[in-house]
Amino acid sequence: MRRAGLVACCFALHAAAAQDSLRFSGPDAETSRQVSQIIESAVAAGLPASQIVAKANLAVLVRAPGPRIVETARAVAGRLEVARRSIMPHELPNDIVNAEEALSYNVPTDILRQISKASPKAPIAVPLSVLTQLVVTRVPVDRAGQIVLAMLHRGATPAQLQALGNGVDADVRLLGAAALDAANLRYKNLNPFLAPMPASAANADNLGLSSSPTGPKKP
Amino acid sequence: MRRARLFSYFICQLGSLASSGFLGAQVESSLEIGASRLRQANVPSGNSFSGGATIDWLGERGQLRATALASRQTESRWTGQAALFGSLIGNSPSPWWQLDVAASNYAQTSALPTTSAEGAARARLGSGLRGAALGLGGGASVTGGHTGGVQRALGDGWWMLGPERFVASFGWTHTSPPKAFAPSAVSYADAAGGWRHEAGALSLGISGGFRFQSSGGPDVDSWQLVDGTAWFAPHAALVLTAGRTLADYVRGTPRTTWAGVSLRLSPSAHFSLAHRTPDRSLPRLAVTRINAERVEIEITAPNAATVELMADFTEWQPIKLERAGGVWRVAGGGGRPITSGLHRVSIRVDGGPWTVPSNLPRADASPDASFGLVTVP
Repeated sequence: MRRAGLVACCFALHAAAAQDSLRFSGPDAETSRQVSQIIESAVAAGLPASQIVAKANLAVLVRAPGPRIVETARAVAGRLEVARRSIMPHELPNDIVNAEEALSYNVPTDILRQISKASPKAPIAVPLSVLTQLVVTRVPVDRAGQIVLAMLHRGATPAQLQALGNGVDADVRLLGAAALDAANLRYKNLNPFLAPMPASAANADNLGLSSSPTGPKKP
Repeated sequence: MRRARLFSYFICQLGSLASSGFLGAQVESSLEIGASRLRQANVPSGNSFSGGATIDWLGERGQLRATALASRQTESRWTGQAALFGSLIGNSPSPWWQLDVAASNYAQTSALPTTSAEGAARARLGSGLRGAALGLGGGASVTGGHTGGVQRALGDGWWMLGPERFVASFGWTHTSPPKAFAPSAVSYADAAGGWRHEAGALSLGISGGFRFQSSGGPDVDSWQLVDGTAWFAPHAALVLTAGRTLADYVRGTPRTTWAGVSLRLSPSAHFSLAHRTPDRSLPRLAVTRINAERVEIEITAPNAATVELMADFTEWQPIKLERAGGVWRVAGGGGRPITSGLHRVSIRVDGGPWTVPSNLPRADASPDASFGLVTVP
């Protein structure tokens, strides 16, 4: 009985915390009212409304005017709906949120669908995030999608994806490389660590057969 | 019926390869010219000059390598070899099968050329990072109208640890080489291991193995290879190799000991030693996942007296970081609960303006406000 009470209490606290995280306080009463309505509609539609709050808060932080904040919230809600449809059957709120981020930088829904299909059982927040980073870095969106998809197909780990997403921009800004060249180079540099992994890599020439002899050429 | 189903399965696999793999394929080519000190069976030691070319095609599920090498050993002795290697694997991230093919031709002055073709099928376990494969293969080689067969059993294991790659393999081979190479059928077992370090502009590899032969040669023999490649410019690398290889009865190549140096030229750019290094005094942010819920945030700002961070996961409240050795970490350590994926961050050094960490993409939220976009794994 006592345990059930404790569980109920924890549940109530959790629900209250969730409610708190969805509370929005705008620069004026009318903006707050309109954004709150959008948030409530998103919650009713089963969308991860915390993303609307986050982006509306960001708009407040940069001192956007009220109508702009409402417009931002409405656009995010619309993109969340498109994002959810695009990455089905992925249903994790975090996946939907990251798909919305990609859409906000004009990534076509077709690429989101392909990423969802390429990783049907695992979360796709990291590949979507890296895709967004590449596009923000000005890698052409088609090539960015191709690289992320190829990395997923070749079994890249989240850490490898993260290194590419964070690294390409550093090459562009700190070393002066062109975005497309930097992305291609970073991707190419991962080749030794991604499938297809050659069997017999060490002694290909001596066993006589290998999928990819990586050793030195013999005279 | 079962054979028809298997056939249609592989046709579907090839179809999916054509529709996806080819689109994202990478093509690499290189030319190599070099010199080496060489000792080969039945030939006096001497200097050798060589020139070669390699083309690599790498797709998501297949790769192809074509390579050719010509070598001038004395005024009257030339050797030439060409080889084609191909590989196709099942669906990633954990493909369970791999098909390999290899074809080669080796020729030398005043001797008959040897042409060989082989194929193998492997069952794989694991991923590109670590795994193992077991397989069977077979083929034939032809020298001057004499045909010999070869059957192989192969096993491999591979393990990646950051930029280090370790491989181990074993194999059993039974071959009936042309009479020029061995008087009768030869059987031998190979056991080998290797390590390769790949990091940016540098690649270093060491491998070696033992051969246990039942007939046609010494009972136990060994081979060793060492190679190092340094890309000193985006399109040029210096390659050093040394080694001792055993006679290859199938491809017709003789036992060789050599040490050589060569220049590799590639039309596509590589990370190189001439690559400018980023300005280390600029603040950089790194995020590492500790466990399913928590991540560790580190900011490198060596000359800073104070560092602050604000981000969507701090609900845009500035938090002060603590110095921990050469980096700055969120106070208390132990990481923070942050979801995977994209996050916006901004940092402030020594009470100055809020800025974007130098190693992150910059997203503009307004004409006078930018944030760094970081991927949390």
